Amino acid sequence: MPKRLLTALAVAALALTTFFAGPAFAVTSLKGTGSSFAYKFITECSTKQSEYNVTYISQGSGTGRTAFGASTVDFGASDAASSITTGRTYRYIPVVGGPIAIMYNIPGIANTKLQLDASTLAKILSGKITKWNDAAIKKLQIAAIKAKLPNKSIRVVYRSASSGTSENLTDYLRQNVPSIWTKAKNGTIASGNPAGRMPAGAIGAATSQALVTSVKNTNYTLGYADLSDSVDSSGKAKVTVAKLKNANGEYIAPSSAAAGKFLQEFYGRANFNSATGAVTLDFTKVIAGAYQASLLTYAIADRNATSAKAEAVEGFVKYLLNTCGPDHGRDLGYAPIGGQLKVKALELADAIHTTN
Amino acid sequence: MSTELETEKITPRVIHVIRQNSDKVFRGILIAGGLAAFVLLSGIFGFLATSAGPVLRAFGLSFFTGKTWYAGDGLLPSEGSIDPPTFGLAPMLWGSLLIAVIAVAIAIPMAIGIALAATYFLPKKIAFAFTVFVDLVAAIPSIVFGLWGFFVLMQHGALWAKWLNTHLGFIPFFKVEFEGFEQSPFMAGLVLAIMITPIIAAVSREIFASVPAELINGAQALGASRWTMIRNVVIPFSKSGITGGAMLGLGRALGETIAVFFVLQLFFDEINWIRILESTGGSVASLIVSRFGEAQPLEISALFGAGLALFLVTLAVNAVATAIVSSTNRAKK
Repeated sequence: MPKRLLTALAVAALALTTFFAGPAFAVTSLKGTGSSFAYKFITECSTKQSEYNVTYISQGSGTGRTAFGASTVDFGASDAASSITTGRTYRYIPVVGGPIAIMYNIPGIANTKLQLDASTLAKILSGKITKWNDAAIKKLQIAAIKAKLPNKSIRVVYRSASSGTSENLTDYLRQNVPSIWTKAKNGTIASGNPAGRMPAGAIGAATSQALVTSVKNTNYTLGYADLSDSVDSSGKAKVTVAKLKNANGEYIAPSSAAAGKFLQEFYGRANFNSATGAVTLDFTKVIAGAYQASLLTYAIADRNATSAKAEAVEGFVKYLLNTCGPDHGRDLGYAPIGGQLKVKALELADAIHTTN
Repeated sequence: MSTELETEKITPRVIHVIRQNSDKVFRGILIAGGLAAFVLLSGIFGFLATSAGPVLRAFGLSFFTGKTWYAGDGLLPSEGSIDPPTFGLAPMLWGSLLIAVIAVAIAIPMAIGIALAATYFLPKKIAFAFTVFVDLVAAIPSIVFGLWGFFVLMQHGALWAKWLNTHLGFIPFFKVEFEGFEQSPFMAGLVLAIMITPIIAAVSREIFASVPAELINGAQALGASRWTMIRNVVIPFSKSGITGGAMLGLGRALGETIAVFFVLQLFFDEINWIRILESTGGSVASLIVSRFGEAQPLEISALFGAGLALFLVTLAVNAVATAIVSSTNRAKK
């Protein structure tokens, strides 16, 4: 009997300590799902801090929106801000961005030496340009590279699963060269291709990892993926990437900084909807030094919720914006949200949780 | 023995079944188990049908016969869509069947060879190890087959396909109208064939082992060589059993998702009827993987519809398989 009493006391004492220890020491568990683009970022950020125990599953943006709507997760992540059928009051909050790298494998042409623009890219992806030494490609290169372009067919490697990356890249093409890319943006490029199909000899890669490896191992290929998927854990490029001409007429290599320059410009009333948090990217905007084929991911979070989970989500989103993005985003190939857009995002984040 | 004593009485014997508690529990578990499978299946069917409702109502039969899968802006014309979606499953449904048939056609000879070797040709101990090894293949996760298919098989398979096309291109099956050999129904069929061979081999082995010894002995007594015996006794006896095994493999091949997705190029607006070497294909399960992640609510409903169609086809195939296998068993008794 005394033994049992002792145990009970011990348990009670333990419970009390936990109870009075206060929120400063409590680890809140958070569950999130959605964008596969943001997966590396969010998982890395959850290991870089100890206040929140974040479980993030990368199931695609659509699933992120649906799961948030069905309240099976505390927060969602989505590469597109479309409306969600749900009883929850929610906002989209831009948390991180990144460039879509156009990658290629041509023996003899080193990293960032190949230069492309929206028009040639659209023609390559829709099968209108089929050879690497096509005049339209040659025209964009410096003399030394012009001579190196081989008389070989371009093998396109594309993401066959739907992704925010494909959706934003097709949107970029659609906005910049609507006469060539005649179809609306589409999460699956094969389905949204103006030719109705991918070019002959194209290879569909199920994941971006498979895509990057395939481009790396196969000569004369061209593919695209988030920059975060084309660098290894130490931030070194796994595959050669092309420079892309921006609306300002400069050839820019995909980098966190150049993507950040582009994304942070969309805070004005015309592009930023402060009622929903949605950012409308104008892929034709003239910005010096910007890499235009970039995308951003939103966290989907409650609005003015009173729960402890909402408080934790608010804390975690602020941590992503203030600390993790600037400190670790670049190494992973992501562009932290900066400038005025960050101010707006933090305003939204501030209203996730309320005490009254 | 005790019954002899009881039959001395003239009244007919009445059998009283007094079930032990353990019997009752066991019976309960069995009935619950059997019912649970049925309830689960109907539950899944009901869930798929309800989820697919909006799309089935909007598109009707053209959902199964339409040739184009295009998500558009995710709104119905009645909801003011400016880029209206069309959901037609025909290329994917046909593609699934085509790939599964190719897989079974390649797997059957392999499986029969394996089963014959294990039953009649290999020494017992080696046969046992061989069998275990083949069965292990069935335990490999399908993502591994997918990655292997994508990174290893595709390069080599494309060369074989090209060879077939150059030399036998006059046969309509081997014609290629759209350049590219890597991600064809043939390639997907190859990967699937390896995945379903263990199942068919296991069934065939059981059937071969059950060939009555007197038939085999009789054939050998008549002076048949081992091969003649197999051709004239074993194979005819096992035919319908092997068919049943093949149907089980077909059911598995129809539903396989991720391995196929890695090695098949999906076309969303064209049915590839028979050009099996061409990088043009469809697969219902792969369609679901490829579109689900970013889908809008209406397309999600359409994808559930695709799941429903696949569910029904697989159910039908399994029903046929069960019927064949059970009729074989009856025939033997």
